[in-house]
Amino acid sequence: MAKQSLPTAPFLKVASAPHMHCGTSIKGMMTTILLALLPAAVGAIYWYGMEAVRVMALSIATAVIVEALCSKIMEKEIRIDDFHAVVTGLLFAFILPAGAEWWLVVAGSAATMVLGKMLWGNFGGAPICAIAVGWAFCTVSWPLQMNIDATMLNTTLVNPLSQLKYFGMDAIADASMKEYLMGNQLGALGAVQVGALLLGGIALLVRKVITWEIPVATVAAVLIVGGIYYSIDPELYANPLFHLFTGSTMLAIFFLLPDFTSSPNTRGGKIVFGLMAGFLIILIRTYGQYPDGVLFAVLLANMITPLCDMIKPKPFGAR
Amino acid sequence: MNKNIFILTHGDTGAFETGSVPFEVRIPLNGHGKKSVKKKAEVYPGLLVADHKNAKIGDMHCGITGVVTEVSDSYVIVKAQDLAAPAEGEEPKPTSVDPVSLDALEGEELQAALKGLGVDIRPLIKRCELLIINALNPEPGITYAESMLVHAKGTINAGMEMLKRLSPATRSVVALPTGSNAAFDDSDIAFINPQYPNSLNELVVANITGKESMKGVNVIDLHTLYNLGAVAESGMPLTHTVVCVEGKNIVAAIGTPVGALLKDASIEVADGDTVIMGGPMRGVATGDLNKGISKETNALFVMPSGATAPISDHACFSCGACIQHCPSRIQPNMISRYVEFNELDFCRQENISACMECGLCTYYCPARRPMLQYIRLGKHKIALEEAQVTACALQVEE
Ligand code: SF4
Ligand code: SF4
Repeated sequence: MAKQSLPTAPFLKVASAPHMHCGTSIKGMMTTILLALLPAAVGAIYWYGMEAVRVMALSIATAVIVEALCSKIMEKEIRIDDFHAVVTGLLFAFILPAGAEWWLVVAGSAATMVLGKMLWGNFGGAPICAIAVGWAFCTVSWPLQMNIDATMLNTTLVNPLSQLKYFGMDAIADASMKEYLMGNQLGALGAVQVGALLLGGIALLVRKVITWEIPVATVAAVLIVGGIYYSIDPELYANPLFHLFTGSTMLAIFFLLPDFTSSPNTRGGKIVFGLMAGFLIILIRTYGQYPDGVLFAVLLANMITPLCDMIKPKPFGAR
Repeated sequence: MNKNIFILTHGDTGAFETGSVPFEVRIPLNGHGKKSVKKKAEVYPGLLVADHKNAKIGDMHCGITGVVTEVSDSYVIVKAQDLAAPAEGEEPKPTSVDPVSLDALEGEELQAALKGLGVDIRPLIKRCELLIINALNPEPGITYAESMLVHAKGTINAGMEMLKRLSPATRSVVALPTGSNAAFDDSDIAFINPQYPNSLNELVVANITGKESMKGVNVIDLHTLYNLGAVAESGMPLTHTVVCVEGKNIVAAIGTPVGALLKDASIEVADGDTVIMGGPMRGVATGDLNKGISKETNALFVMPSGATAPISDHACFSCGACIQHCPSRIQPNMISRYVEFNELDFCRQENISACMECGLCTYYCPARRPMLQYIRLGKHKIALEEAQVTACALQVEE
């Protein structure tokens, strides 16, 4: 060694370039999402009271514990401190009826975590939105308990989507978009806090946690396709705004479809993906068996994600 | 998040300071096989210390007066000290070298003379039709470009003139940041929006020619031009260069230890800090404050420990941030995964070679994946593989 000519040479950290970072982190993004979900959670408590608190708390707790257990079994680093499990648990609670039985919440939340995240390795592997997986699992296993109209008998709220499905346009003739926005509709406990979710979604866009492509494309498709049906026969088909402001549409637009792992990454892919999802929402609601087909639309749209990802720009200098 | 840090114009930051003479220089060698000095030899500014057998790679010279204390394959260390006075009856010892007159030389002779003066001529004589001088600050935080065009204009002009004598190009364009009023004789001027990554050679070329291709174009950056200009102006060997030390531009002897430059600029380095040679986006971190700067070192930065979250082995969660910011329009997320699993064919398919190594993907990744490093590794592995394939093909032919 050369003789140490400098006074006490400090121990330097070496790292690979670049040596700067924008400061975002998974934890930061998840915290922002949680904050964006807060208004909807408050809305859920306002409309459904302690029942909603019970479902949300149980779902979050289950999700976190299941993730920790799975990580342990899989001998992986436990990363519950990135809050992804909390977000997933809360989002799963949002699509349950407020009156869901405790075992349904626990089983569903556990299935969401296991089938929708941990089975694929860890955060980052799942090709399908975890919440949609959990929803499908529960809907197929316990259709009655998942049915909002069947579980929420002691409420004065009405479910506009079931009304439309079973009683036709007349039943929703006096629908008020403003009331829907405020959450005055029967549905999954968080998903129907439409105005609050819209607020949260805009916050996510502003904080750049999600990009504009998927929400804008989905909204556009819902409005266009819904508008086509509406213009064919306004007596038979609902106003496109009705579709936007009822059921889980808003939740899907801002929180489920832009879910990082299951959505495409390229701009073109995102737009096609969003258009497809919006198209499917209207299609399922119009012809499907489920009054609120949004979660199905999310599942199906996730199926074409790999195709959407093939829409990519020409690389620099490529011919 | 903050776009302002990527702005590349800093205005005129004043004339360059001349750095104080360091206590030692550690002249980095890069395959310079023939050392012309021995341990304990007395050296003075401009003296040749090592020679490269390739005729296109510049030789290395000493920048200070002192005594050689160590000679190895990768560096020559010279300790600064006054030389002993000549003994009675001896000739006075030389203290400097004579300038070489370059004016009359041409072609190969000129190239050989420049090589002997320490200029790497290979990039300068590259075959091309269009010559582009990239006069933007190369990276965020580096501030020498505009001052150089004001306070060292003579050197730059000398460099330009020399470059035109060397390069076969028929046309030259100087790429300046928008709003600059520097003027050049016989060269066109193009304005580039001074925002990183627009300073990258590939993007400068695309901006000027409108074509995303480097064919027939040679890009020389300002730092190289300054080095060439310094030699062309004086006819003296290249012993000093400009280094931007955290925004302060200093003319320092080649081989000056990083630690000495930082100390001169009163920048404290604590345990756990990262010292970067080069810019903060593409530079290389050094683990040794004694390491000497090379001809190409254009900047020094210190990143305090804890300024950024450490790199992680987290899986990509497909947020898309890297794709959104990649100027090459490739998919760093997929490519870095392929490199992780050594799937080089997929890397090729995803156009790994289009990456211009700007570092933005890694800058924006919330999962802190070291993507630029993966991509560099992938490119390296592909190059190795291709070299092997060529070697095999040659054997078969025999
Ligand atoms: S370093 Fe990353 S962002 Fe920059 S060109 Fe390469 S892949 Fe794209
Ligand atoms: S920024 Fe990081 S996490 Fe996001 S897609 Fe790119 S590699 Fe994956």
